[in-house]
Amino acid sequence: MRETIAIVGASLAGARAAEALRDSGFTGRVVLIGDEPDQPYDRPPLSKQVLTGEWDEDDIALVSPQDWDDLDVTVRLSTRAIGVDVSRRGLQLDDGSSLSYDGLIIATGARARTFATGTGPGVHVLRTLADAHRLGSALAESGQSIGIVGGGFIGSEVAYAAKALGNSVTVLERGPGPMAQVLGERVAVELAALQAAHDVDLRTDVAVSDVRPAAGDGRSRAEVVLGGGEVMRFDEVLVSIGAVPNVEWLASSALRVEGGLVCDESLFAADGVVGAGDVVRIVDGDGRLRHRIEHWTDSARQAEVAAANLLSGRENATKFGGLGYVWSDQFKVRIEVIGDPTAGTVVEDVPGNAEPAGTSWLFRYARGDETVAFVTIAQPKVALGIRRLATDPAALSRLRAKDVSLPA
Amino acid sequence: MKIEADLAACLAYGNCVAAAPDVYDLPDQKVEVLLPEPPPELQAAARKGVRRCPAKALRIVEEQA
Repeated sequence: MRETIAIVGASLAGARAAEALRDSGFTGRVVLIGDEPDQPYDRPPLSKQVLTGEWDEDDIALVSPQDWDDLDVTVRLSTRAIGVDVSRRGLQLDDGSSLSYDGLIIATGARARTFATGTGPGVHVLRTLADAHRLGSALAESGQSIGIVGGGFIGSEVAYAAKALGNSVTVLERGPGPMAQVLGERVAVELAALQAAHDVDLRTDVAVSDVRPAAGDGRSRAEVVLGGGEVMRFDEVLVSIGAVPNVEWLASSALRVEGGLVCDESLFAADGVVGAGDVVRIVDGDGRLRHRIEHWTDSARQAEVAAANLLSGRENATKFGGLGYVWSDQFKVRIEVIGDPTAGTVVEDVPGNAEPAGTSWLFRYARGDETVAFVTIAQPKVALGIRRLATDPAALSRLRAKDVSLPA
Repeated sequence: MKIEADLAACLAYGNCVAAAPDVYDLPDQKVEVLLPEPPPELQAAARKGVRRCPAKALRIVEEQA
């Protein structure tokens, strides 16, 4: 019998893991299981080009039909894994069947967080292609009032798309500014200015307790209930308040689940089981749980490491390391995040040369004497220079100690 | 291995340069493949550059070149 590796989750991490298995020379059977009906697709364009109608399904396919043939992967769509027995190496699927595996890659990702009422007429989330189609049709008619609850990455990008489609946009953010939870208050101030310059009505420090479909047949289809009980009405509302890891199906397994699938630094969750992507929560060698990473480049890199480690075995595994990288395209600028800004605070802010003044920045984050992250706004060359430096381990450690001049 | 770039698709994310700085560059916000037929010791990194491109602007057109 040929060996079988099962991959649960048919999104970026799952697709990249399948490729990485073949890249590493694995010739056994690869089965990719996904609960959505679509072939693996790319999610970042959902809040940008797909929403504005510039791109369609074909543009966001993660693997071309030709490449699927070459990969020789059995893809089972609209199929959900509902349980796993890691000692007997078997998966239970929601169509009543089971699947024996020799190695398992868990990449079930995360889903959009909602308020108690969930989604409904006029109330949207954005995580899947179906969500993007629904939200895109809702935004397509210009001149509407759009409410966006949560000014993080998705909320900010959709705010821009909704403005570009000719709507008026109100962002309700619980923190001091857009993306403040990840980037901190200093950077959020600049991002608030960016939104204001694009005529977005940004309200900060706003507590929202629920979003629900509005009663009656009026144009305003959704209402937002604020912490104090006040109700705001909008034609359409996007709830973009973060994501919840898809781990419920692992509850009765022997795997450790704690705000995600807990994996060691080599991405092993158990012998013969690795994790990759948004679902993963890495536990450090000293037992400290890191926060989950929900970003494209890290998911792709984790898939590479997880697949290679599964094949090489736990004894020969390599750790998932390197600097994280995140981008966000919004309001005609690119925001780039290198490293982990939540691990420190902004200790240096350097304005760039873009006109008008104050619209481009380099921020350095440190904890103590150690640099932990850089964030740029509209400074792609600077961001690339830092990433290029960081590919050299010696230069990276000098960069961390700021014993090196930053690329101009 | 032979790599081709689709300059129209490139959105200058720089993941290719971060994966394989000897193989790729982004001189003017568009990818330049410095080594379209990378030597064996750079092929694993070059492949990562292709896989990590969020814009699907890079493609391996021949495995054995």
